[in-house]
Amino acid sequence: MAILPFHGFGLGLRKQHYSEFLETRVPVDFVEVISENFMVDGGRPRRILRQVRERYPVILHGVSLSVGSVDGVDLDYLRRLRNLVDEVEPLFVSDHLSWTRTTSFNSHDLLPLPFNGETLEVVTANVLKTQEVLGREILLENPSSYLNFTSEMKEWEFLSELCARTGCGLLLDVNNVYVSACNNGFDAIQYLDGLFPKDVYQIHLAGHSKGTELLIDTHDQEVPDSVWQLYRHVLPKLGPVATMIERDDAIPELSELLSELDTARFIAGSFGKAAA
Amino acid sequence: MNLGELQSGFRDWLLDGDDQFAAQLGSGARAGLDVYRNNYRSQLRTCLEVAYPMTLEWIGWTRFEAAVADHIDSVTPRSWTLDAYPADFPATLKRQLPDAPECHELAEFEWALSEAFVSGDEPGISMEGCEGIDWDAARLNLAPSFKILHQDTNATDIWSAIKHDRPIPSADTSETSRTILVWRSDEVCQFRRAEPLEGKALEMLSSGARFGEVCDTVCAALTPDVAIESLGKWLGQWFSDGCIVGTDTA
Repeated sequence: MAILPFHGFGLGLRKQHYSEFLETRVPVDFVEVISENFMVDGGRPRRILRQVRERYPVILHGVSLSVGSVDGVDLDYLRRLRNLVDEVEPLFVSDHLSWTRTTSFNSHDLLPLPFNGETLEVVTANVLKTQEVLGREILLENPSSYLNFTSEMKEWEFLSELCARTGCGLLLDVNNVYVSACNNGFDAIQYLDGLFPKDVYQIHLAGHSKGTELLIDTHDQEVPDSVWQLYRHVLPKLGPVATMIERDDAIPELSELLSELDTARFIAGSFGKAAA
Repeated sequence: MNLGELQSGFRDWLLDGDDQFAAQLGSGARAGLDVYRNNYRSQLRTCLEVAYPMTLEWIGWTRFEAAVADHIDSVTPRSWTLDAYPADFPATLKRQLPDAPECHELAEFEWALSEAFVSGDEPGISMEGCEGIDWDAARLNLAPSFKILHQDTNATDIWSAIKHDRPIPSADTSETSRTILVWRSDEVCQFRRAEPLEGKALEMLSSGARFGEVCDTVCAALTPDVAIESLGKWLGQWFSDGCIVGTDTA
């Protein structure tokens, strides 16, 4: 199943806001949920997701696919994800260009990859297997990176080649581009200009923190000006995209996130890209 | 270094802080590697804190953090879901605090509640709906959430007191072999203490025994009148609690 473009503005669904999403009509075009939080056998999480799905389009965003694992993808995980996909019928299914797992070990973190031919072969095979099991094409997100391997390719070149080989699309995390650019010494504008606009189906906007030596992708603050500037730069080049504010820690009132989403709408509107 | 070697080396760095791997990546990589190792350990620490709030409350930060550090050093996360990582923490507490068994039993109980919370959805059936079945031949299917714990302390009393903000009792190890039943009814986790023989009967049902076999076991342990009365009372309660989700007479 090919990816269908969707233009709109949404939020990540977090526990603190369940009741507002279920008891009121929150002005979003979609919500994104962390797939693994709902890949359980039953109980309240699955009921909440079913009820949310009745009211809003849903995107399934995962963190455990480990598409960069040299050991391949976990078929048990994929079958569980497929069950959730079949139930939710999401707009998109996404995960990260990273690895989390080796045999008998799962870091539960999005670990970096060197961008070379061997990695491209591994990731391509894993994406194709994933798409075969899920029966649909997926989106991959550029993760934040805290170290720079010696690589044959730039990250954006790697992503573009991966999309061409597999038919997957991109979830462009603008904050992650900024964080990785600062940490690893590349030009964020060059990164954004190097992507093929047709590959980008979704955008994440988030905040970060300043560590001792590096920027840390904490998702615990509002979207900073540096990230809004990159959003303004890239948006006019893209076709229909789903833009989302992503907050994973220090979750504020829903109204604060909606206000940030209004900023995204305003920027998009200034480029003639208001939501349908 | 090929991709497999890089991923093995990275795993060793996260688990043990393997300096040899860090050296291979060069001095410029050290700050980033430290971020990943800190993320790895802090995520596991948070996961355990979230999974065992009552245990943390009972044993206090110092002992809890010591047990967490021990657990992270000795138990490697393997599952695709982080939610599975806390499963072995009661065993770590048992090793760390052998003279305070209520600690690991409290954690064991918290974990049973967590598992029940997200277990499969199978609604309980009513006893009236079982009219006419061959009880001797019937197997009673227990809810997916149903679990039996055997504890030697008053850990569940401690849990209840903390949960409901009541005076917390001292640890009591005077009575061993307490049988605790845990299950979920709709979306609410439930528990109650049961007589050991009721626990034995439920364990037999859980293992696939027919109700007639359970009756034989109970009748062998009690006088006939008391056995019949107990079985009738238990059966009614299992149904009304939503613990029975189906019957099978094949």
